[in-house]
Amino acid sequence: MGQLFDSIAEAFHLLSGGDIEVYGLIGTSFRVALTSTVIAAIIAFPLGIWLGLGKFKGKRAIDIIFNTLLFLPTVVVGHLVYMFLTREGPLGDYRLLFSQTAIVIGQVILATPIITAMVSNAIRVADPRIMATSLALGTGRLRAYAALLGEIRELVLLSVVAAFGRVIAEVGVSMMLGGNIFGKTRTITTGIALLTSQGEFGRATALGLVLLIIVFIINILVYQATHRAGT
Amino acid sequence: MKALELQNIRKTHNDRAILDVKSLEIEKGQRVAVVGPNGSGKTTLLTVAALLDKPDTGSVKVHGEPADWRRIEKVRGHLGYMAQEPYFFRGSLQKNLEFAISGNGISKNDRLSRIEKYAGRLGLKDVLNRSPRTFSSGERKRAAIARTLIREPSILIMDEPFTFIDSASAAVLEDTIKNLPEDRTLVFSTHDLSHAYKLADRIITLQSGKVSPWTPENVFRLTASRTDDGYELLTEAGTSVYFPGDLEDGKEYIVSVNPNEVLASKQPIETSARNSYNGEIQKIETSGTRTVLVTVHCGSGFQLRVTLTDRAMKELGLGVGDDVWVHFKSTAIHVHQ
Amino acid sequence: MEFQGNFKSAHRQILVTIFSVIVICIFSCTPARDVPGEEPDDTSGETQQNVVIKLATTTSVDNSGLLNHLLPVFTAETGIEVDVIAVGTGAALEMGRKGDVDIVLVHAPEAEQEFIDEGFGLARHYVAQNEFVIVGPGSDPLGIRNVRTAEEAFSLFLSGDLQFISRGDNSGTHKKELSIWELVGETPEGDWYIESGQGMGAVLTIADQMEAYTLTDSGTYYSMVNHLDLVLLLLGDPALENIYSIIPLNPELHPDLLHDEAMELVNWITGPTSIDLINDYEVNTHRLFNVANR
Repeated sequence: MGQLFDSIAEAFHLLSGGDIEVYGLIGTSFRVALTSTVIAAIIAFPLGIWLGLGKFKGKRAIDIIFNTLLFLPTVVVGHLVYMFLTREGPLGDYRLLFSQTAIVIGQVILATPIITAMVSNAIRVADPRIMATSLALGTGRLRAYAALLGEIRELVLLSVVAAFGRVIAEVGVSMMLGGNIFGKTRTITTGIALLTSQGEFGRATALGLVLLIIVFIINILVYQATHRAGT
Repeated sequence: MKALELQNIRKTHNDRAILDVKSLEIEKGQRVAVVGPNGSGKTTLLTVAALLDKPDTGSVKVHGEPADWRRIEKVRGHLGYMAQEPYFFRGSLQKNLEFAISGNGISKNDRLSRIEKYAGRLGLKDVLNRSPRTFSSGERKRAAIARTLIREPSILIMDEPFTFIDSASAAVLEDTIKNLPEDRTLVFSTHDLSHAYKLADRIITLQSGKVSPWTPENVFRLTASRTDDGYELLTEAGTSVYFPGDLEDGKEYIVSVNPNEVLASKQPIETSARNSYNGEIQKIETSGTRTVLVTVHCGSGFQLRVTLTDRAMKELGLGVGDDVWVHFKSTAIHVHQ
Repeated sequence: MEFQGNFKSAHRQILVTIFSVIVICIFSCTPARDVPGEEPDDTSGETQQNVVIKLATTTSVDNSGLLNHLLPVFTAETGIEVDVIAVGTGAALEMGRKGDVDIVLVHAPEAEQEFIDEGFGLARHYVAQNEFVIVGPGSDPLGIRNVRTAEEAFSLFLSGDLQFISRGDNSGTHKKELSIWELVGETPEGDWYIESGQGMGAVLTIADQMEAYTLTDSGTYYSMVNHLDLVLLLLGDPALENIYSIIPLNPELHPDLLHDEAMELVNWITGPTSIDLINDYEVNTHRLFNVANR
């Protein structure tokens, strides 16, 4: 018990002291997770719209696949992407392994199904007249899709935040594809893993607290955004 | 010039044909009312015509342009569709109206003046900053109409514009429709025939998804003239129809008579019906069921349609060109104000 | 008919377009993020464009902090940055085999020789050494303090009275442990033998938490000693010598790797500046490595 309190005390000490290493990890985590989430959103929005609106054969199968991907363990994604990025893999020539790009690729695979599933479900329960109304007003298809997402924007935002939460908190992909390189691919979570393994509980706790605080702030923002004027 | 051409349109739902239209052509500038019982396919016909619903088979042409995919968005640009229960986007009415005209290459100033114009015309100026979701149902209908009209589409398609609406809003709406520029084509559905008679110059009846040859009622434009025991309604050629109720002398009225309430006989007969006419059978149409629609020409501008059963037809031994008498009671007359 | 059939295909067409754009973006835009030197270097604050080589090494080297001590100096002198990927020796050699890194620094002489014999590595270059030690709880119920050799100590573990944490990850330390079991002539099995599959630091932490014995390199142990209740129980057995070597990869197998820069690292790390730095490197008043056997 004493050790736990010591750790928390050390955590605040590190944070208030502006520990450069700690802030470096926070920066890396954010940069990588944000990039992943944005790319995932760009992929997942059209996919979600397609699945949410579409009526075609095999749609149920695709739904099930995406819902399954939601539960994909991060290490499985890490391993699969590793097989692609290793020099002997299909994408080996790009030398992407052990880089932030590699982490981004893995995290995009983690985040995309989350946004896709949440957006397509949101569209399915949304008012079916939204699309028809846009089209009836002579808007192009792309603008109609944008209007559709706009009408369900809280849920869209929620899906993006859920995806961001998953990738900023994951460790498997970052560790396996990033290689936990100091100053480059060490993130908050791989940092925690390393510090814990080295018995540096105080700094590990500090990073854990940072993660908690970040997620807490994001949730406050989301809560405010989604509870503003309901209509 | 044809505004809309629908050919061989078929749409099924759960193996049941909900729309089956061989051919339907609507002229530019025509005002068409689509009538028919609930579930007869009115909404489906309108959404297919508005290129919002894809039929299982068939083709739609707008101003002679086939609505295939490569052109569908451009073609749809000619059309303005208003749903029976319109959806409004989040945000103010102003925003909803802006959405309808943004991206059309209209300048900001023109957009604002158009919003001003249409909001003014439909009495919505004071509520521009409110969300239409907070409107009364009459306001909502007017808002939807403003949103459809503001794009000034050459073909207007409206599904039941007169439902869920207060009488003041209905009047505004009627006025708006009457004042549409002449080259605008209008197709609207309604379950209230008087709107069809008042606003349309063509009525299409849908029956189980098919365009029925039956115009639901005999419709006339007649002028009222006072007599000792009521009014008579006169065609231009002077044929007279007796009506016991209150009318305004010299005013033109739209009058309808249900073909089911018209009797036919080979000889003049004594009945309680005040209105009896002698004429010649012009057309006999079978509906596929056991009834037949017989059109009887009773003088210039006065044709009466009569429904008869198959059996009655046979017993009377009627054919085209035959001389018949037709009768209806004055209670069968509906005058549309 | 056109009206219908084309709805779907165009829908798809748009999706395919969007998809292609995204794929192109991922593979063309994002690698720019990893242009060497673009990332701010937190340790040195350098901003010049550096060449970056990737070094796969063992957790025992990395956890000891030695590389953090050496590499900034190397980078300052040569302009070559080194990205350190710390894994077990087995995994590090595997990365070398695949060409996922430019060079490896490991401590498993037999596996290293095999790596070279197979043609993956050019030669072993001696970097430094320390020794493996056996650590355990201060109470030392098995009396490891009283024996002289690792072989004797391991025989005592077989009693199963206390747990032993094995790396179990095909690392250099794990290979060393297995070679001692071979000397003992027994296969460790049972509840007392825990294969953790973790790095050195993690295994020490586990042993500390579980009050168990383990075999560790002295470098990692000393670097963590302040966080541990574990006590050093056996050291000085010649069988527990721990030699670290750096192995440049065969350029013929992976011609596009940064072999010249890798050789610069080999020359520097085996050179005089590095020797002094290694010999002077102390953590918690312990010298973690020495360069004695040159």
